[in-house]
Amino acid sequence: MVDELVRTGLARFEYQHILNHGPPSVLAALAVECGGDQGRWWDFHDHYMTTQDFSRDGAVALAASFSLDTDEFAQCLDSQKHLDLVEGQHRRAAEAGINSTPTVRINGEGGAVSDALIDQVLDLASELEAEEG
Amino acid sequence: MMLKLGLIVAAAGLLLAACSSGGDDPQPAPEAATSSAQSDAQEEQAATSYRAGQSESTAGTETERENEEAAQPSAAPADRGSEDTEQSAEQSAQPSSEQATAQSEAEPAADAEPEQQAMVGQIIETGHRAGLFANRNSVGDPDAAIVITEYSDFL
Repeated sequence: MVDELVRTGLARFEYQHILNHGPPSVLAALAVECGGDQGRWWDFHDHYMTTQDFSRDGAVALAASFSLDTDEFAQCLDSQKHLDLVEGQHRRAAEAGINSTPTVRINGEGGAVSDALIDQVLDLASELEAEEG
Repeated sequence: MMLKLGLIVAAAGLLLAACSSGGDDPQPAPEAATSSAQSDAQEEQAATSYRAGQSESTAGTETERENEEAAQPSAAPADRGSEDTEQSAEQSAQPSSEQATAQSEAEPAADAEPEQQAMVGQIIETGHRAGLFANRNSVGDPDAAIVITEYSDFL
């Protein structure tokens, strides 16, 4: 349903970083954003949704597995290029009273959205990203 | 003496004459006639049986031919029918095989782009696809009326 809503232009899906677990959360969020610099944001997102490896070397190896420029990726990760971005998302979420994860809001309002629907949108996002990449 | 010898010769002559004229005897003649008739009858019977055999065999042959001829036309249509059936089966099979070939040729393209075709259909139907994008943390129309936001940590 969400897939159809997004495809038909009726809905937009967004992901906001929450950094509730300290450095590993920050590293994962930064790795996703650095992957986004090379057009693989949703691939990194999907990977970190299922992996338990939140090390720097693991992130660089993941970049290599996606055939990204690992030097550029490592530099992005080490310089914390997107730290302001991810911390800003976390701060705004906390200001909105969002403390637990995952939380889903529809037009800013809380609602019951199943994991299946979220997965559906995430798959669509990866697909569209791949088409545009 | 000479007279006796003459009488004996005459008697023998008579006997020989009587024996030679024995064919006129009615009894042997019917037997001979019967035997000849029997032989004739046997020959005729044999001939008849032969002819009958021939005719029977001929009739049989003709019957067989008729049967074959009768069978051939009936068999021919049957064969033709079966051939037609086979041809129709082949013809019906050929398009299916061609279709299968065409499908198999078309399958990669069909498999490769089903979602794209569906998307094109949606674009034609809704006209919204041009506004869709996937950029970093967002996917969909930037101006969409519904915004679904997930706040999450990867841990």
